[in-house]
Amino acid sequence: MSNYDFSVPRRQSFNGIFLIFLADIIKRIRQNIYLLAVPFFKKNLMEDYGLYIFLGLGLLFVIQFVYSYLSYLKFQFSIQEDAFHLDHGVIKLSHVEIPFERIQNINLQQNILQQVFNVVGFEIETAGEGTAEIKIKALQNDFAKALKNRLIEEKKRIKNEFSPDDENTGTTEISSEEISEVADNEEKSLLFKLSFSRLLKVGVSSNFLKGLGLLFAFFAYVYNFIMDFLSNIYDIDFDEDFKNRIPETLSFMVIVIFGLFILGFLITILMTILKYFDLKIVKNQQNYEVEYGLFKRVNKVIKKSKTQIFEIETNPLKKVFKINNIYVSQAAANQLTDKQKIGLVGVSQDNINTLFNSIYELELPNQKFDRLQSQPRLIFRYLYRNLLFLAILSGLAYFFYFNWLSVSVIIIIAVILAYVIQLKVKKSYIGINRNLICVGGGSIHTNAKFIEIHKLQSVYLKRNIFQQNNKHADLVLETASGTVTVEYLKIKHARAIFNYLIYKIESTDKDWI
Amino acid sequence: MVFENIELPIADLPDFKTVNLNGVEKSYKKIIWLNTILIFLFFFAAPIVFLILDIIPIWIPITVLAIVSVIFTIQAIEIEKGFPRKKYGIRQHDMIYQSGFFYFKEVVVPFTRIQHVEIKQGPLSRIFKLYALKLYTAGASSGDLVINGLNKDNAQKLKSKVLAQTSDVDE
Repeated sequence: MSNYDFSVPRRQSFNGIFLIFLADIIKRIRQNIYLLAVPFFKKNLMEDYGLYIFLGLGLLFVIQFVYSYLSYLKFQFSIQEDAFHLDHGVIKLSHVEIPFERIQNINLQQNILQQVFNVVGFEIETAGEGTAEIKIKALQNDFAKALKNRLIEEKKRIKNEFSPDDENTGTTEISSEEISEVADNEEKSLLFKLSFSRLLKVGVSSNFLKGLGLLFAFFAYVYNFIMDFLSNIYDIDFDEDFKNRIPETLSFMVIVIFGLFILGFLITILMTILKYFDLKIVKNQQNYEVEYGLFKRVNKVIKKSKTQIFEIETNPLKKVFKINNIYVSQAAANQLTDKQKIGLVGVSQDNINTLFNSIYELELPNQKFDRLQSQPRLIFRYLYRNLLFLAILSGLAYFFYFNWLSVSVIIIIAVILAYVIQLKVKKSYIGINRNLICVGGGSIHTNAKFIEIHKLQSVYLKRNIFQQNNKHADLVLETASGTVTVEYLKIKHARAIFNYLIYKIESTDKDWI
Repeated sequence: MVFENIELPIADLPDFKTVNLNGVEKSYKKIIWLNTILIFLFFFAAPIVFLILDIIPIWIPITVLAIVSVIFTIQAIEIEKGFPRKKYGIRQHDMIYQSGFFYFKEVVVPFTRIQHVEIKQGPLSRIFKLYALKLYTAGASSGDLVINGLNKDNAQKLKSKVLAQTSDVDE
């Protein structure tokens, strides 16, 4: 099929030098884009220093070319009997080896630059989703295709017990798989649809501090912007003027604070409604399709094998409304932010059980866990953190606004913090049984994260200098969609769980994806 | 502690603490020191220059110097006390690594969860002929394991061992 000898280390296509150079230049410009703003601050910059600037830029240009050329020279790849080998790096040399069976996906693509130079980009994906572990920027089209075929062959040779259909080794095949999924429309059944009144309940019971924070950030931004603008034009110190006009009366302050809270509350409700408008969960064969949003309609598929963390969240108000939120984390190449988790809000306990059952093939109500509580010492850790905050607050109050009002406000904040800390410690635990780990957390709200033991990537124990003395440890669980930490367990117990989890991961033949 | 829902007698499980661990190469400590000194040289030099130039109030560089010294001392303790703790071990199914004085960390990465393996060498390590072994797991980089300060033989041996184990499991 191909007459290339892949076992000889090769470089990229010769045209690649220029492509790499241009791509690097673009990257550098992007990194230093803010420098373009400098001329606005310094007038006559070009007249005064023009020559030096151009000389400097020219020098950088040359250095960059040398660097790009070196990186082209050092970038060498080959196929040996067991793996795909790649050497790269100019200052830091690295050698990467990817065993054939680890290759999940091979993508060929051409962006505009690559089209100009008549080369293709070559990507080998190994894990979860998204990231290419190996990116070769410039290969000749024929060669890239031959290389891809060769890798697919090698992979097949190793995994010959699998049917050839199982090999997801190209973008085209992937998309055909997706098409077949769409085609099976008849199998779809609606599991859950969020009604508007229920959505309203979700909004009302959401943590409105988030909305409040957003509001503050927005006001601070707008305030700064307008002040900058106005004082530039009118040359007046509005700051001073504005501050003098604040009537230092109690009632005014109370109204402002009260108003802010109400506004934060309303904004939170609005945001929730916009985000989760018309939430639908549809069962499609093995998987669930989730759809939500008013302006930005999000459509996500929950795949059983890709699900890493299943999180159930509730709070006292939600309990009254009998609603819960579920957040599903799927495998990804980086730590998942809250935004990236798939949110299924306003679901009932029955919905939770159904979803849980179809993802884990286990009945949630039947799951009994051996539970280990975080030790009460954890209180001190949170206390130290909050003490700093309180100290700063008290300091500010002492210097600027020292009277019975500020003192009592600080005392109230301290009491609330103490209460929240106590709740946080009480709600932190780890539970394990033969299949699952359940990690509890929360303060006012309560959440439980469920992880299948065989989906763990690695486990570690972390002990700071104090914990080393008082025989406690934090247990950290790494999954393909982020880190879950259980703080302050007794070292003896932490080790027992640690050994158990490692044993379970290594004795199962189930894969994490 | 009672484990009622676990099918195994937990005390009989292999304990990672019983494994004999190997320390990394002694010369790696020199690299850490060199790195640290290079960085702190700058942080010490800057306030001293200001102290000599005498263009800003004298208390500012002195405070900065004091803070930098404290951080440097902490870093020195971490290197000296923490270095003997940098140890790795290999079991039939996993790799163990521990490190740290102020934050003592013990990691176990099962071979079946390793995506790929890399041997790396930075410019300083090249002088001392040392290598770093990097084990990548799926997901965020926080789950990856890096073992610094290995000589060439050990690094190669560990890598081939890991590679052999990962492919064994898959076949």
